[in-house]
Amino acid sequence: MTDRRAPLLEIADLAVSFEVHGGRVAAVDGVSLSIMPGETLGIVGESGSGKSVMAYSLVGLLAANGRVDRGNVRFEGRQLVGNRRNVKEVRGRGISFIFQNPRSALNPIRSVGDQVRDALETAGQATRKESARQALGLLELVRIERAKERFGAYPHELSGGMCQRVLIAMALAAKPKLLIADEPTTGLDVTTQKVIMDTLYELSAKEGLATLLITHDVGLAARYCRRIAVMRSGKIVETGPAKDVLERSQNEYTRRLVAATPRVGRSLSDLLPPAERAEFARPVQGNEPSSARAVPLLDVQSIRKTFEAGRPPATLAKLLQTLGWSPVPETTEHHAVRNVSLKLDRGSRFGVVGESGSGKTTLSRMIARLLDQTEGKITFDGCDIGAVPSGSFAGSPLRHRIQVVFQDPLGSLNPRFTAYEAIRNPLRRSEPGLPADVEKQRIIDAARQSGFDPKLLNRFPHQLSGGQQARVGIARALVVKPDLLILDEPTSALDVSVQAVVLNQLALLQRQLGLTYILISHDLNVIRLMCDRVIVMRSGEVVEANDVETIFSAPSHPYTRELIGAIPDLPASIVENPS
Amino acid sequence: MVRDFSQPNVSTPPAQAWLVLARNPVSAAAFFFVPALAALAVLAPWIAPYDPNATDLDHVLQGPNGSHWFGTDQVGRDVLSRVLVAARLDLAIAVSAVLLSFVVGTVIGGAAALYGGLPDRLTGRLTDVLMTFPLFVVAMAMVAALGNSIQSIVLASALVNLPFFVRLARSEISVLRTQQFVEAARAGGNNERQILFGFMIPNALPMLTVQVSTGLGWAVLNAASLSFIGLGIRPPTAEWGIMVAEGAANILSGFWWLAVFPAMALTLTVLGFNLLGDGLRDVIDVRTRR
Repeated sequence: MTDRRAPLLEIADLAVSFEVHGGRVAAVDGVSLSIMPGETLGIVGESGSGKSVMAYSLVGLLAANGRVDRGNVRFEGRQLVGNRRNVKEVRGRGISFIFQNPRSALNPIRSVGDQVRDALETAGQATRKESARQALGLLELVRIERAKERFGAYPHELSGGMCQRVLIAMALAAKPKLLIADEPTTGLDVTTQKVIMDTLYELSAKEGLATLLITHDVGLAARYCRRIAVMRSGKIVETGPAKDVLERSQNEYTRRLVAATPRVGRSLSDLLPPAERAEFARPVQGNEPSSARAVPLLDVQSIRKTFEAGRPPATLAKLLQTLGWSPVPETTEHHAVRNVSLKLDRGSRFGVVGESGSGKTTLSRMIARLLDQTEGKITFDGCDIGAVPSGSFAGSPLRHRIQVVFQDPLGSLNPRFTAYEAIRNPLRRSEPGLPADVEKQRIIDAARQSGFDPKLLNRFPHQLSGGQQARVGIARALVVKPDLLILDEPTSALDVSVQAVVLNQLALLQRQLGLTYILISHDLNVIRLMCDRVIVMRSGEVVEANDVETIFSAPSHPYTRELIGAIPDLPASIVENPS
Repeated sequence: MVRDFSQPNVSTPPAQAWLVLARNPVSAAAFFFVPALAALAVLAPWIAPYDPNATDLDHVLQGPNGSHWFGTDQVGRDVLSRVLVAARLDLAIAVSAVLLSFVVGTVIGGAAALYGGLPDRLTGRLTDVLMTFPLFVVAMAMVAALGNSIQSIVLASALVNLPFFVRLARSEISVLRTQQFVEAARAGGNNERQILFGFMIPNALPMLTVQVSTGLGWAVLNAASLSFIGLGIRPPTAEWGIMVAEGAANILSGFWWLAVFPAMALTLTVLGFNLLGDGLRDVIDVRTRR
């Protein structure tokens, strides 16, 4: 560093630990960092790397069982460790925070305008009289359109992206010098993420605000930060200019993390470290999908789902009317899926892309017969499964042929079943009365196929890691030998390095077993690696359907173009081979 | 000692139980007191030094002493023996009343949550109505309808406890209904009955167990209160409520041990069950885990 200015924030050998039963857990273990005024620093790391804890410890926001063990934190030359008065003065005024999940960070019963005013007044920036005008200015600064109308809105009336902008406005109220953004866009759609991050980027340039961006997404950090620090198990493994860290890293972990992030120009096996690739590159004998059959495996015709909401019981409506109250508003209909048709041949890899609320999960639940369609026909292997109500599909002989891998690896496992029992349950339902040894062998085989160590079969879900939980979910779907697998965001809850392994596992299985799958994802890069054909959904409709390369190289619908443009991709220049 | 963060946490429920007990000695005391009490109640006829109903007119109204630890009453019965034997009766009433409301309440509450709509609203209003009846009114109605018997007391106590179990089971099941593993169970080919008994009730059981423990405390108190005013169990049966009622008249004359010992037994029992409930909640509820 040749910069002769004094750093804004200087962290030296910071260590934080938490008291847990059985001892202390070191969460941050000797971190040293510095941020210059107006600089944007990205801290990248996987879950449990201590990146958030490190940031919270700077201003004394640790949980009750946390403790700063050693180290120095200087903000504008003032010591923050062990000095409550300095911390109190710096918190909010010098250093502000924005968090993940913006809606829960706002007070639900106070209008957003008032919350920004409160922030201004607490910071001593404005009196009650003038705070309204200033708050409006802040809301406009973070690019909330029609800020005047939205001044009196409550958090639940705004979208997640809007709420995050309100939080940024509140964070800016005290004119801080450093903004710490902890996963500010996780859980938001890619297009929203782009707008939020662009806003933050502009602000830091315009106001000279230094930003510390904490994220698990290497692509995001690469796009918005000039300098990146990579964190692992409480330690900074590497710091440097973004380009160097991403392109020329000497550190094995950094290279692995960068490689595991799906991006343009990489194949599925590129996500894995070279040593682990062989395992998934096994040649596949026989088992070629018998595409000779003329009937498509799945044929969905103009399917619709309409939810009715807001209808109070009929008796209540009558009562209100007799009391002279305005009749309750007509039933509001929500069209979750409108008029979607698709055809899948055996062995095909089909992708469904869309942002939250686009109806992709509703579509998959109808195909999996977990939800009744309002209209439309679903034919599976020549049988009209759409005619069977979802409530009684459990008894159908076709039930086990359509299986689902769910989004939340932990939440989709019964906490009271061991991995063994979780995999055994669907097998017992589809093939009751199997001899005990055959049953056991089938379960062990399914676990092996999914890459789950059979030694762990007697563990309960909470005793497994996220990747292991995801594999139990896959084994549970595979054990009944399905023809169609519906993968509903199977890796969205996983770290990229784990995602790389799970995606490779799924691709291998597809080749080995001749499976047909529908992969639902918000991540276009994942879809691109895993699918042949894709539909892009928006507000319940298919806006574009094509093969995957055409969608990416020549998107025809403006929305598709917008989605692709919003991917925080690693710079295309970094297409090196980390071997 | 530094634990490896990369490995998943393998703390098991028993380990969690030990942790809670080690941190909270009061709960720990309850965990040992309640089983001890249950053992005393079951073994009472063999432990009791005297026949609880045998009168001994040579030794009436003796204060606590070496041969009668808790003293004797107006007709020379040994108070210690009566307190011990009474535990058996009071606990039996409480256990059967709570088990009854637990089973019936779980089924009704679970069904309400599963079917929703009209059945749900009906049970909701029904529990509301049920909660407005005071114990004593229900008990008197039962006694009037079924006669002055232990069964009436059990039924009355069960009925008063019922709404709490219905509500708890309903809220637990309706939360579980939206869990992804229930949807996964459906995709795995389980029918609604299998989902209810294989997935939902086992997951609702821990919270219901906490309610059972707290409910037992109330039920013991209810049984004693009803017999205190002369409903259900009648003298000369050894029962804490009756003994307190009979002894209360003698406190002013200085014969305090007649009422104080059964009252203390009652207090400790109710306290024990409540603390056990709190301790169980700490063991089960992940939000209190650290």
